Amino acid sequence: MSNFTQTKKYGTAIYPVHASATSGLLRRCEPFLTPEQLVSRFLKGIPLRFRNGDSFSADELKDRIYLAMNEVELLLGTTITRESFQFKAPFDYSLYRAYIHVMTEARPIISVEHLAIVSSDANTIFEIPPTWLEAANFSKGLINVIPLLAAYGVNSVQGAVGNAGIAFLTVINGLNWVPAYWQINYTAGLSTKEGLVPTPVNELIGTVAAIAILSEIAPLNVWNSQSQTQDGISQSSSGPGNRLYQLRIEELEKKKDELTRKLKAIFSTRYFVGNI
Amino acid sequence: MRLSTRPLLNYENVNNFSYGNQWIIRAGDPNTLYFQVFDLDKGPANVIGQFVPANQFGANSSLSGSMGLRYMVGIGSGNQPASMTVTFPSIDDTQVINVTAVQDPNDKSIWSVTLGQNQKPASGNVQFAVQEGSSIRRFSSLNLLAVEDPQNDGSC
Repeated sequence: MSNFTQTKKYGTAIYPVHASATSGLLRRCEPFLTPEQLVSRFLKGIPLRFRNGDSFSADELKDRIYLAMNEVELLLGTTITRESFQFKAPFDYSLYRAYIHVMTEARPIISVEHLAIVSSDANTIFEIPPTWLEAANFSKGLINVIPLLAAYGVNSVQGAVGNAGIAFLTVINGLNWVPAYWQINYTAGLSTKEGLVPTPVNELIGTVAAIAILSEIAPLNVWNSQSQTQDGISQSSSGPGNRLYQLRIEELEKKKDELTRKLKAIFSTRYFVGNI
Repeated sequence: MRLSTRPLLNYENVNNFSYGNQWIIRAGDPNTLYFQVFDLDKGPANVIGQFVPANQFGANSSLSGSMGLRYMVGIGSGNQPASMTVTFPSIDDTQVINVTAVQDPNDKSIWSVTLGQNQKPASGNVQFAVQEGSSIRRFSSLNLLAVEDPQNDGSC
């Protein structure tokens, strides 16, 4: 478990981004998708049965939701629930000059617990005081360090700031690139309230799960046409065969792409320019 | 032995309840959550893909993981004392809720936990630790709990 005794947050919601207060008149967040919601929202009217009589039980639908949640995490490049991360970002001179512009791997950031220069043998050389951390762009995974507090009359900073560490900061002025330099401990996820997810994320999870379920059922509808003839009397019927539900799957695929694109646009920056 | 649980809904007594997929509760309400312990490795033979002749449509037996056989906790002198702890996890240690479950005196496979108004767990998996004598068995039940926020779910 993480240590949250020293945490820097921006104090607004993850979704809607930067919402500082909401009326409660409109629901935008809900618990994880349930099997009943999956059927009701995405699979209404579709018999969840196979030709041999197999059917999807509630446990199996729950399992498909669990698979879909993991796929959505991969699609969005972040975790759905709030989780704790530790990673090392390189020292990049141009970014250092831009107020230590560090982009995290997982985003949006919910809180930063620790930002420090840590050596490869895990010794903390210099810890950035939390008061210097600018949290306004946490929603995009961007951490800046703005040590201008003294200019506004704040004379003391909390944290492990030592003379040796400040001296170290001046040494790196001559360097352009140091790999694995800033160590960051932070939490990221799609909700500040554990167990609640933004409704569009649940919609994406349901869409992914529904595509998987329909793709399992449809190919087993093997016959395109059937005919029966006896004594000159015949009857025939034809259907979509294994392309059953193809239209629905295509619509869900479009919806999945659209939701993924929109959610990624909210929580990440599309372009990034650095030294390399 | 692989223990698991199934939530019991509308629980009145050991002869009057229904099985559910998960508990759905509202944060802050007083809630008593009932569940039954199962051993997933026991119960009816259930081979994946096995043809079941009794089913006229030729359906395979359920592949969803056997429902298992209900497991009476603490039966036998070697399994005493018996107790169970239910954990509602969180990334933040201060938000983790540990509750001691209460065993039903009439059915030792049925347990319950009571959440007070200040105990607000999060949706998702629920973890269990069953202690019998000197052994402890731990397991996690997938997405067992859904918690609605009745106060303000306009942002998260």
